[in-house]
Amino acid sequence: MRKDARVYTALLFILISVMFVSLTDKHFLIAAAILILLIPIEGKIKSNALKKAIEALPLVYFILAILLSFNLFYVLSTLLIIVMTAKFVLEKKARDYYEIFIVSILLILLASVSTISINFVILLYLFLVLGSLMLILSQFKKNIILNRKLVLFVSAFSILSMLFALAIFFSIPRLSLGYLHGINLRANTQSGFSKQVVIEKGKVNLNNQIVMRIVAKNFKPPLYLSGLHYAYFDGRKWKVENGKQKLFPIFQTNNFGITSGMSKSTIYLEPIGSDTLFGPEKFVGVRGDFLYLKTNQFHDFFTDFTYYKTIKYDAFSSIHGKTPIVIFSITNAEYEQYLQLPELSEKFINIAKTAAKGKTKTEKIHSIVNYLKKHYTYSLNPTAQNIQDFVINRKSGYCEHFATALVLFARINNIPARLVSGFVTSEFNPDGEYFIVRERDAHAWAEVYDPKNGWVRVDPTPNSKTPVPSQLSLLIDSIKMSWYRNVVTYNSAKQMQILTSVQKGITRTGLTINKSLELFRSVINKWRLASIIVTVIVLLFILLRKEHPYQKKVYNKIVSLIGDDKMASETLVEYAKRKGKFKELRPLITQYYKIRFSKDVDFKKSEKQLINLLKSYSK
Amino acid sequence: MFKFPCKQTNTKIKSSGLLFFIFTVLVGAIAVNSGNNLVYLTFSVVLSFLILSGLLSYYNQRNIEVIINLPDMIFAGENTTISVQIVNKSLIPKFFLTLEVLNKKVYFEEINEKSSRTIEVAFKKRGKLKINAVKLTSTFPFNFFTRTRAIKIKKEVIVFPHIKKVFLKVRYRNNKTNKELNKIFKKEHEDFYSIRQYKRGDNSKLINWKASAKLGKIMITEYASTESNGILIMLDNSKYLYDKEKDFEDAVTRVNSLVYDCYRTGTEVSLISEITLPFAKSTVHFKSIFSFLSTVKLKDRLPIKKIDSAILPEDIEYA
Repeated sequence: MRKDARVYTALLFILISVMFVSLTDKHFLIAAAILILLIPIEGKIKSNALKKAIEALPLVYFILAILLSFNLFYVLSTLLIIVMTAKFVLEKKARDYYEIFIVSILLILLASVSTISINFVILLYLFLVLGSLMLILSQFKKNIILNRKLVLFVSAFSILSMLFALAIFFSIPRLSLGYLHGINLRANTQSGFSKQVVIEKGKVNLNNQIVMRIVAKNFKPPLYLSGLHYAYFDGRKWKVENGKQKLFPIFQTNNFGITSGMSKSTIYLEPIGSDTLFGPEKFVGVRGDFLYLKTNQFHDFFTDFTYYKTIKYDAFSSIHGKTPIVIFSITNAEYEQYLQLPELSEKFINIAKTAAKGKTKTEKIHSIVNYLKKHYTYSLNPTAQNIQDFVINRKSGYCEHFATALVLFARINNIPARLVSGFVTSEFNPDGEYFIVRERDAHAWAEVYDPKNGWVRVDPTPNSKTPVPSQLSLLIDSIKMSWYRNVVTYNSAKQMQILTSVQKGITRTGLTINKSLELFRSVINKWRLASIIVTVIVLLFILLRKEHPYQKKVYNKIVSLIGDDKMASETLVEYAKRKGKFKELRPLITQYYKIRFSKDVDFKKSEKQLINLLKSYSK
Repeated sequence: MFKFPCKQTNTKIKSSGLLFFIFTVLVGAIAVNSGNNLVYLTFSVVLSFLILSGLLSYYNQRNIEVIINLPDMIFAGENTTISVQIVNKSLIPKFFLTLEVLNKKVYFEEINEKSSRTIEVAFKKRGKLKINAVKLTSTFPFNFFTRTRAIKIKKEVIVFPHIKKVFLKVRYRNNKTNKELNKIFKKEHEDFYSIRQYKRGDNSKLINWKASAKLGKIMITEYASTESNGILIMLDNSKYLYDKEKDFEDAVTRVNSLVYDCYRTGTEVSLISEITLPFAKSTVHFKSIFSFLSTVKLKDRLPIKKIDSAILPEDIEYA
């Protein structure tokens, strides 16, 4: 039997609902496939026992899932999908469609706290189209086949509804109490960035997943984003300091460490499952919607919670162009800390001393960098067991090997140095004017202390080849960035900004109108009589102007067909007769006159005929 | 005369609508609590859905015209078929409309341009009935609200008195026997007189269809007996003649029933009451009598003098 339109609409609606949670985990698409397979048995289950069993299925599943203590998100999502599937399979009344609709909203809620995908808004629109169609169709008492008018009506409604929803979204006051920080499902723990910097054997896989986007107008590529600084190296592993790291809370999260002249960058950080905040070089200040922040002695910043949703914050760097604004001096104790060395072999120390040629500290550092770049190769699959193995034997490694070697070489030569881990990127999206940082951009470099300039970045790692993104991928990413900027990270500050600009716009428009009116008034006052005459002429011209612009064109065309010496007093007929072309052009002129002067004429048809005639004559 | 009352508009939230509203508030609370913009977006969509459903409900009942077609003659107590038509004056189709006319509901599922339904109504009392408005109820679009709107229409219905089966119980003063009198309105036209063309006011029951078909115009059969078979009925509405209002109503019913029998059989009738209606047998004439009988009321005046040849209500007996 042919199924009713409402059954298919309900099916599509449920599929869309499932797609919402599949934004978080693609495995949910299996549920969608199962649902499609169930179409043949839809509404055909007659046995009461079987009906009861299907109705009880969600409850049974829920009890079992709770007992087996699955992840709550999966338990709830699956439960809601089972409820919808059961409703779909069994015979449905109008109320059942309504219940499917409510369950779907719950599913969307679950998805909204676990995803930030731009596809969310596309699905939301489809939800509106299919949801409204399903609810309308459910009220029909007879079997229905979709008609064009109804579909058009629903489409118009959903477009209007979506626009209205967006208006509500942007105007609704933001009163974020911030108790939910996202669900730890989508968090990308393979971000390439790790708090642990360990020099050991192992292959590194590069991933193109985007980690953050940065609007940094005062910086040029390559953009270095520091995350953590390390001072203590035990021969294998880097630590912030020897012993447990001390963290200090900061409560002025709206204006911490910011002084005038600093370079501001806005960062949209994807959920990477870390509490570390990143900022361009000499990152010393933060502004963001946090309850509090934490910092250590190196001005590394950590969030109040581990966020599993996209967060936006402003990072301030104590640098303007190339000029440092604040120079951090270090105490004697700190000086000693930055000269700490693990147990190293004689050979290692000799290599370090050989590498550092020159008299000044700067010369020595340059020499070390050159030495490393010349004698060592970049590899994502290093075989070195530790740093000594890298320096003495293998001579092949990635950024962490190079940076560690440089720090140790500098320290051996009595130059205070430390290791920095973070990201470095050269990928700039000109469409949205922002930098893109991917997982593969995770990086480690060194900083050496110079009493004049403070900590100076030194990157000894040889350049590795990075793939160039296509224009299309950049365009898609700028759409995503727009989504993050305007929707995902939309907050009260942005709202105030919009309101202020709207207010300014209204004031400006008002002033312009006022100014124009004033000018108009003054002109009228000055040239009263002239303006009245001009107005009357203009009005008369408008009222008496009957000729359609195209008719003028046609007229000129006919004139040009006859000749090039028409007198002003001549009519078309007179002119054609004078030139001896009347016989030839008679049908064309007659047709033109018919349209121009006849009242009872089918204009559309006549115009078409005239144009055809004109074309044939032109040939 | 009595009016059919109706309020202008009335919106009632249904249980599904109430649940959806609570749900919307809940989503809003989650949005504020979480500060998650996607929850805010979901809330905005749900809220917009709710608000626009209210607007759609409003527009679904706009640009609508209701046309009620009533039959020519409506008798109290008789089932009357009324045709109801809804005309959609807008380009957008209208859905799920329930029209309440004279306490009867009729459902229209989808109206593109216009749609008609019929309803069966039985009027209890004789008299003039004014329909000032009809109720239009709809659950469109999402069954969240039931919105009722009164559509003003000006329609007047004259409900004729009840009809019952009657016969004459006494000898007629013109010395006609009961049998003879009953014969008059039992359509026993034995004596054929002529066939002539139909004139306005002629009894349609006397149309000779065979002759009409042959000649291509409507023809009437005239009977010799119909020329002299007219009856005179007298209904006095002086309040001194009746103990109760109910007795007068009964008298009206009896007279009306006899007049209806005459109408049915094509018998000439003259009515003497507050007004006098001369002998005639046209439909227009009968309608005038029925209309008078549907509105006649007791009057505080002396009884009128009885005419010997007239049939009185007490001469008419229920069968």
